[in-house]
Amino acid sequence: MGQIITFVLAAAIIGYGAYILVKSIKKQTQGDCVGCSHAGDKNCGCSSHKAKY
Amino acid sequence: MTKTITIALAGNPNCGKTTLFNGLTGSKQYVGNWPGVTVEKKEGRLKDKNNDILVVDLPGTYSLSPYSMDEMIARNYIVEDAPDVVVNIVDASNIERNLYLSTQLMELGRPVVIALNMMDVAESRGYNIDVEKLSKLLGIPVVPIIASKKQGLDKLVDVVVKVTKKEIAYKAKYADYGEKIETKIKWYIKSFEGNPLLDKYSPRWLAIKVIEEDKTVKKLLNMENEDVAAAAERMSLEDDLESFIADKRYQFITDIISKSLKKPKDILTLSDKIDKVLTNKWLGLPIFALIMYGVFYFTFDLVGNRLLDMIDVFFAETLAGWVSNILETIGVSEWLQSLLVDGIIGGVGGVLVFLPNIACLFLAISILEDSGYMARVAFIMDRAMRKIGLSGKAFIPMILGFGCNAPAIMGTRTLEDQNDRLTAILINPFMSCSARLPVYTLFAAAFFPNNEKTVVFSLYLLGVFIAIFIGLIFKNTLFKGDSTPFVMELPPYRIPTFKGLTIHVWDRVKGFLMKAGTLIFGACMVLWFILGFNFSGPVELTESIGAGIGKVFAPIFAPLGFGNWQAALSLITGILAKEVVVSNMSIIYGIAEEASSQAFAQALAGTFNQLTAYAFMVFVLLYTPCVATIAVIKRETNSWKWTGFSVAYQFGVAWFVAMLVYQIGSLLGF
Repeated sequence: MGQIITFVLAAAIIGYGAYILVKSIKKQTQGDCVGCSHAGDKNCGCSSHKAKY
Repeated sequence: MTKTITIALAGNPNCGKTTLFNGLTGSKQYVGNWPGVTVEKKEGRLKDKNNDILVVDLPGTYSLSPYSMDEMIARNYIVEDAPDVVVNIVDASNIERNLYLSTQLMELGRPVVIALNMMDVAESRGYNIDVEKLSKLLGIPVVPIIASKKQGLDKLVDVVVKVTKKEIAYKAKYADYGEKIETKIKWYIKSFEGNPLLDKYSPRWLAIKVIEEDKTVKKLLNMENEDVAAAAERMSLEDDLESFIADKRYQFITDIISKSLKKPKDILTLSDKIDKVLTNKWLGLPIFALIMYGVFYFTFDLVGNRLLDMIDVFFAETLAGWVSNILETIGVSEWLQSLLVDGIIGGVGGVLVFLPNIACLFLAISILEDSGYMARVAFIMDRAMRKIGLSGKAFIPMILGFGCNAPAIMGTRTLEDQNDRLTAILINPFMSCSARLPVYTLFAAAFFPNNEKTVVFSLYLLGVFIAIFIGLIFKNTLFKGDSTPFVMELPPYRIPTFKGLTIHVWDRVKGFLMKAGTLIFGACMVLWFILGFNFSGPVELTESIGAGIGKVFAPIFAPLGFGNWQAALSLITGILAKEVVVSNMSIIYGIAEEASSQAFAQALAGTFNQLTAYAFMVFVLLYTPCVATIAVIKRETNSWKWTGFSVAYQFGVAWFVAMLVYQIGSLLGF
């Protein structure tokens, strides 16, 4: 039982961690600040930002 | 399907374009009360009853001549993308100067509707504007609005729609440039006839631009060799043609204003009286320093640290304890328990505990911005910076850098001179962004428990000083030239609104939480792995991959007093994001298990003391910026050479200054 929970939890945490890290680094290297709300940051010109209104 | 109506919002800096944009679209774009807040065009959508309207917020400009990048963005959009209507926001309390841009917008040939904004401010100053007469004299619709209170916006949209549907008679009136120039304009207009490439441009505008010697337009028309200066001589004009045309535009405006505006004799407003003290030649800078010290007192002693202690206990004791117990009960393997508790809760929690300090700092800075004081700071610094040959305008992006260097570097687009702009880009990362605050707070609390605010304040001041000093060196070596004049308008002082402050602070807090839950989360996972394993499996910390990497680079930092692998590894990973320095330290020193800064200080005591801790903070302040900032430098300079130079020289400056701090400190016996 413990091993199954370990496997499921580990897959979820490591999977999420790896995915989010790669995605964040990709975003950072494009000049987009991770965490930038596109509205609060003055002059935010994140290239990935699209109008959504 | 209804056709989308595109409207462009154009106006002088600080006339309320973004406030109107937010009011029309329901968006929450950052609104600042100083010039240069919007340097890119932003789009939003407005749905009214029958129409789909795309609203484009353009950067604020005083004219449409291509002097700076933001003016080019605005002009190119109107000329090339041809929006259906240009809504020209005119500050009613400063109507004469604002109408100068209006005269140029009208010449572009696109339908223009004037939104006469800040009518409440104009009325409070005793201005009496005859809106109907103004509209008649300009030949275009004029709609009075108060964008901040969303008054008059429905009427404005209604007029815009009617103009696009040609339900309102539209016949813009232009400045008369005198017989000689007008004849020349007509001659040029005739010469453009039959050229299909010029169909989308207003012939009158093209003609005027050629006469003004606008290089972009002359290139478009293949008229680069046309000697317009000689033409001016032939026309026996005393001024150069550009000045002559500007003069005629102002005559046109003065004539209109004299017939449509009545205002009382100039009186000193409350803002003027306050400015006599706050922007005083001698008192301005000391008052600014005092206010900033107050900001740090608020951030640390008054509020921030009290909340920090509570969150610290929550992460270090409560949450870590709960998670450990639950995982143990359900039989999860020890390595996964360690990943979650030591790696993720320790690393992410180690950063999140500083949330109160960050929120307090931004609350204080937002109060200063919204009250109108930060605009005064730019004014005060302009005087000081111009004395050493730097453009005062460069200080606005520097102030923005206190938030985040990436958008601050984009803010340098307002600088006309390319050398000034490169200088501003290269010195901006020395301004201490909010991501560095957790590092200072961690070390200051551990090594300077009763003087945190003073230590952090000294680092912010050092950042400003180094930025100006390096800027001065650049200005006298790489980027020689005169500083360009800086014109800025000081907004009236206002009491910040609760809503405005909440939005600003929440945006920052949300950004910080998002970063913690994404980038920092992922980084902590990797750090936990490289600090717990090597290629043969689980090992002691000192035998780990992370320790191995740190040991390779540690000798570089030995002359700075922190030549240990822990510091070296933290600094390398900090290039990803500065907060990761703290996550790294948290995992290495296992502060997930230690509940107080004293315990952390004890853990660190083997590798740092007060002097080396300060030298380390100085290095973090000045060294190579984060990946996002480096990418923005590349994007804005469009040069790998300058990007590489920026990364390398900042590392060099950080190394040198931190070395001086440590070596001089050691000599003095600290």
